[in-house]
Amino acid sequence: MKDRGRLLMFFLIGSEAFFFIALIIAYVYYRNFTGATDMVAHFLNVKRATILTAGLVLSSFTLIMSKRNLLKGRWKMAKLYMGGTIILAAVFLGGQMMEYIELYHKQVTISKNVFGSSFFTLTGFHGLHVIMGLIAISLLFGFSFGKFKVLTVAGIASVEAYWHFVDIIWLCVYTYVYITPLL
Amino acid sequence: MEDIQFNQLGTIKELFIYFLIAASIILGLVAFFTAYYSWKYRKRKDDEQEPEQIHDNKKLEFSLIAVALSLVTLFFVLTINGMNKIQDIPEDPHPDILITGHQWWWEAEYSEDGLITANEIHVPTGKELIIQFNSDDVIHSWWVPAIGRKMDLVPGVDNYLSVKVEKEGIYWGSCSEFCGAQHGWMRIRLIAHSPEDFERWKRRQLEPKQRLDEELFKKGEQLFSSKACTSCHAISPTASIPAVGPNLANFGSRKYFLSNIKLNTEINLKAWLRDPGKVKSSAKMPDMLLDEDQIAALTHYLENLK
Amino acid sequence: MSLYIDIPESKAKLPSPKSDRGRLSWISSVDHKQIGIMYILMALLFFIIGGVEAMFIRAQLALPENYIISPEVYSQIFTMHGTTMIFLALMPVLLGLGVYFIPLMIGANDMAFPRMNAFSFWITFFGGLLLYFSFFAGGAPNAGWFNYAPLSETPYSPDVGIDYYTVGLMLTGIGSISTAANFAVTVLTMRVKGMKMTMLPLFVWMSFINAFLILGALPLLNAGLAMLLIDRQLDALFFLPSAGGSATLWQHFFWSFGHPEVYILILPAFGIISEVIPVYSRKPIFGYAFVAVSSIAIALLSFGVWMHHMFAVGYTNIVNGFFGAASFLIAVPTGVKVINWVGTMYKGSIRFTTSMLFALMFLINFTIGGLSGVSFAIVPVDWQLTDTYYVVAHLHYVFLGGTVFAAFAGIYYWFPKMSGRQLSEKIGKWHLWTFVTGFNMTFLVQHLLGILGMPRRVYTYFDLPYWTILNIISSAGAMLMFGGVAVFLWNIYRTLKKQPAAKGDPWDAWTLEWATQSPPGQKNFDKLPPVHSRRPLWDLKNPHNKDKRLN
Repeated sequence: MKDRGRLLMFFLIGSEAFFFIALIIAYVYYRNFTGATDMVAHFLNVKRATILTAGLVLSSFTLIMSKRNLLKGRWKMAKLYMGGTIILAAVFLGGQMMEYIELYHKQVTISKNVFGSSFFTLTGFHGLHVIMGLIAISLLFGFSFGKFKVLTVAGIASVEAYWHFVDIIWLCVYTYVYITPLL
Repeated sequence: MEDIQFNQLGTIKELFIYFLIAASIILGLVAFFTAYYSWKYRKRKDDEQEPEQIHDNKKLEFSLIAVALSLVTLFFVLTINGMNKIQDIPEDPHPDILITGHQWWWEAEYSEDGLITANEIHVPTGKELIIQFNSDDVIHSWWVPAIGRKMDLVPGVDNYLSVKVEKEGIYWGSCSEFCGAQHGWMRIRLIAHSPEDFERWKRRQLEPKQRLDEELFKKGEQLFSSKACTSCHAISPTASIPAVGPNLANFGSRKYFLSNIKLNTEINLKAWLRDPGKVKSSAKMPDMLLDEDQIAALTHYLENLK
Repeated sequence: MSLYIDIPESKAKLPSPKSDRGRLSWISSVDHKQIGIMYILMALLFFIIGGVEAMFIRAQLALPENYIISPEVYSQIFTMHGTTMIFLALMPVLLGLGVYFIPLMIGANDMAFPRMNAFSFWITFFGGLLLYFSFFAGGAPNAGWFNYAPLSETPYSPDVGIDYYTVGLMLTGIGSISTAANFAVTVLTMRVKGMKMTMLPLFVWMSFINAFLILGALPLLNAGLAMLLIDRQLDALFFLPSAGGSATLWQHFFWSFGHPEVYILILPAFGIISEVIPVYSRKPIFGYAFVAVSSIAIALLSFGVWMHHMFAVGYTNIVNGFFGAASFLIAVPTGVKVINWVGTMYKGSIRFTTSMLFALMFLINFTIGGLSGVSFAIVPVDWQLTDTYYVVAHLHYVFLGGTVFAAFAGIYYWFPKMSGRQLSEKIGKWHLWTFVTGFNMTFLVQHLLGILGMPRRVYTYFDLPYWTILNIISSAGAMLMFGGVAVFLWNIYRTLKKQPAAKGDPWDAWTLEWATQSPPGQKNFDKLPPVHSRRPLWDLKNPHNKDKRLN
């Protein structure tokens, strides 16, 4: 009864997972039928992607820490960890933006070939989900100041579930897009 | 559809008849019990009390599931058998005919001698032919009901079908995958000859065309190249390029044109040349803005290409 | 502003839409009953529009070499007919009945997320409007409801119709997903005390299973639509074979959504039938456990059968055989349900109301549709008959003979609950017989047309032997069916003009929605009877012959 919001979030996440499965299938399908392996070696900066991945995983942990601290009533630490999450998410988005700009300069675009189409669609939709998560976390962060002070554990719990989901999806994307073509 | 001796269609028919028998029995039982119970257990005037409340009967339910499962298992075995019989293409197929789908016409190339024809597709009887299917634009589907199964023409993919026509004759078919506005008029005319007749037909198609020594014919020939007809239509029986429109090398020998929807007569051809959009809307052929004399010359020229 | 919506405490009636204020309160409502009714009205509206489109199709096909409408317009009309009926008529009516009755049947006062409920309805509705706006924006979508690429790509469909198709369906898809999530949470968390998951009324159970189907299937469509839209708007190359894309990948996305979608449209219909037949037979559903569990089997299997729509694409025998086997298997839990419904009638005391008659017609016509569906699992038969009028006949037997008959049964059954008035039984029977006769005239002969070789989606045909007469019968039947719908509308209209007079529980039914007044006030329940079995009101009405206690 209590955690209806969290339950809802689980169902929506489950549904979104199917969406990403479809996008990943499209990417893998095209990778297997085109020379995408070379594309990855030539154009993608795997090292940076690895750092960004680590950052995103870390941001999941900071969010967990934030919730733990809130449960114990340590407001300041909770806010601090949450701020850390926001920064890590923003760094991730910045890194993705840099990657897109670099690819653009190398003339790899969404309309260049099927690798471009499926790469930008997959990472783009993931980025969109990161942005939505960032907005949600920032809202929670904002609510924790001033007279609102309505930061609740239930609220964080829902956003946290979503954020872990975004994280897991990224790990799949990272594996399929950056790692397996090089193996 | 009445000739059962074709082996592919025969297999399909056999399976369909088994299915029909099983389905009729099931439907008969459902309809019977629905009607019988409706009548027998209808509310009577003296029905004051609620009837006995029966919740389930596990034994009956499980046995019915078992019956249903064995029935579908039986049909699954039949399916696998039939499928292996029909779709039996060698690993490295050497197609006899290459059929390419276009919006909205069919192109056929005979790989033995490179002969290209359109819409009217000739085959020899009694021979196991391997046909390769391809599409130039969107997905089409090959289906001649009296011969057998469908095969999609998927752009970028080579599909193969083995076909054996036993009896001479003319078989109608049509595109069976929606491929745009004129999907309905993308008809197939398959003509099966005896092997000797087929060879004769092929020789005649490949022969250099006799050029008539007539004013009108020459004018037509000249118009055909000056009006840029050749940028879409090939005029040599073995030229595969350009394939925007049908190869017209043997146009006069065809009984129908426009994917077999119009009889190949002077009147029909003239109407088409006058305003293609009016005869077959959305067709890719532009209105060439010809005057009546030009239309007459072109018609005369094309009708004599045989 | 509060973050939480209070359950209205008043037993006052729902506002009347006759005043400005009343209308405004409907538009802004978060009440599940109002939203449910709006869903059903939306479905009715689009059902009529889709029906008019069907009439155009049948008029065009009535005679050979007919040119009432041009092939270009014909493509738009049959595309919109299919899309409308599936996404804007059938899904909304089933979701609408769910939105209205799930809370009532589990003894709740509203859905778990009332505001999201309103969001779901409005986004679905506006998705539908957007789809129809395409008619004014340069042409409706024209590549069929399954919109195969590369025909739906810019080089072959340069008009904006397909763009409206992608965006419109994404919006309705998002609406369906959020309604589904709402259903799942509502059923899991809002049941009245004592009602275990194994005690749910079957309509609720089916809608609950259905919610998971929607949650899994719709995103697959959305992903495909997103790629298609990116292809069309940003010149990506997903489905363009000429540039390295794939022509068949779209089909995989579409049908891995599309086949579950078939079950999305039939499972709630099974639920309705499982409510209606017991009440009018005065017996509990025969084999509740089987009906419930087999639905889970259907839901799981439905994600593994999609390629039977693609047997003619040219895959190997192994692939086709696998999906053929799955398609055979899914027929078992579906088919044996029919036995449960017939078994429910055994030794009953059957009342032949319009609702019950529709359920009986469902039994026979859905069986026909189900059986003809099995013939597609026989791969060689599918090779011969796929994409012909045989398929058109089959799918209409499932969607009309199945879903729509069940929806009519449900509407006649629940109309007194929703409006406080009983639909006329006499007019109802006229509706029933014209509709059922017209339906069978229209579609039974189409099986033959398919076998004779008539491909689907052709805008006209030559006068081959038997083709004309069969098509004339089919078109005449369609007119009769259309007349039947007109009778139905007339029935609703004249019933609504009367004062509410129905008894609170006119059918002497057993599930909780009948434990409150008809129509329910703004607050659903004041007091609920104790729930110890699947039929709480039966226990209340028959204290000496209670059902077995389950909690």
